[in-house]
Amino acid sequence: MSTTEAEMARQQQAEDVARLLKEYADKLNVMASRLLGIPEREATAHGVRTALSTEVGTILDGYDAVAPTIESLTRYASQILEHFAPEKLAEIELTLRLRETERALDAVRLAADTLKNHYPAFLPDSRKKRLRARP
Amino acid sequence: MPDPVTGQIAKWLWENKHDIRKALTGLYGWFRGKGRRDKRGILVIGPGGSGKTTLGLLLSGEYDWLTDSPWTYTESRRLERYTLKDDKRVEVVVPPGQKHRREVYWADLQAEIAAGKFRGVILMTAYGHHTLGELVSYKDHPLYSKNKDAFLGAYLEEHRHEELRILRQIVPYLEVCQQRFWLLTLVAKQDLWWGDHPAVERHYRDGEYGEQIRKLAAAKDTRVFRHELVLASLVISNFGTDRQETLKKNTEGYDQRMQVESIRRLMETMAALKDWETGA
Repeated sequence: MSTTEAEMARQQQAEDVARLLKEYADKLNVMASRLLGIPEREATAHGVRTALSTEVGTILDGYDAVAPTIESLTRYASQILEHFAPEKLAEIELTLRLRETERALDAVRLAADTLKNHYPAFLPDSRKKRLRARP
Repeated sequence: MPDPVTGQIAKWLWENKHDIRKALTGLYGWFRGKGRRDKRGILVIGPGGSGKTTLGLLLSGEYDWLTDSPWTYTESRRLERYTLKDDKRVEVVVPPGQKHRREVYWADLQAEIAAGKFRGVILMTAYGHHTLGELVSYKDHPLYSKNKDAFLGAYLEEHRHEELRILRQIVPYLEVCQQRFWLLTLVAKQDLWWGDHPAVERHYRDGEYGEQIRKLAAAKDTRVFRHELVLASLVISNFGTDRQETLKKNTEGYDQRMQVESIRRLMETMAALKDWETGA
């Protein structure tokens, strides 16, 4: 592979990773919003606590399923920024996407912690002690 | 049949374990601020992959290098703080070192350096041996051009420059600090560069790095500023990537005993800084 081809491949890699980060940051933000909206929904719909608890469990199961891979993706993005010196605009975009995704990962954890600490009734029993620790 | 070298190291460690534990316990107490009026923290700063987290864990007592196994590198993305439950006032503060994270995490810390919020700053370096992070192959690196040795040379040189850039970045904040504080340059990963140690010492004592330190020291009163240089190996490990690619093996003959000696020098230096702080 020539130097130009290698540079183009790295550039493409940076763009692909930025696109993936955006996709999963959006998904994580939806998870966090849904978790934080649970207490409000319960207040307007009496008698559905069990269903809401199941929904919380489903969201957190979904989070557990994707979080380790997203964390791995964020570290990869960080290494691209640290070592691969992408073209300036791609570097800015990747930096922004990385920060958004890391914040979104934190937002879901924070939402889950909020439920656990302030609205424990919404957490399924299996979840009350089993929240993913911060890396 | 037991390995005679390993056997000697184990014997030495066993015979000296009380002294080692005592020295470490004394240092941990110092970091925790026991019996001291100065509750300022310690800042561990340096480039990504230089070993800051390992040092933070070691200093706070969360990592026991006598018994714990070294772990694989995982990039830190947050400000790490190491404290004890019984005294949260003194902290070892370790910000992430990647270039793109510095603008987020370092600005406030630099202002705190200038304001004298730290009793000491440990600048982590590794003679350019900054761990290439997870998932990245050296063959994808822009410095690679079909030759591993040439890549390694270029990579190490670039990262030695990065160490210098960081030193230059923090020196202005150190210069304006009016409080009494110390600076410790810790050149880690000695097991990787031991074969080249005269050049390493020259680089940090007499080269551009040493020149920057001398300028800083010249601008400060010796009663309020002290610099020390320690060369050490916190863990013994080959230099490679997470993809099981070995870029450089640790120096032949650099064994655990030499590592323990290097940690001992680090502890002695820290103890001397402690004495300097108290005017002993």
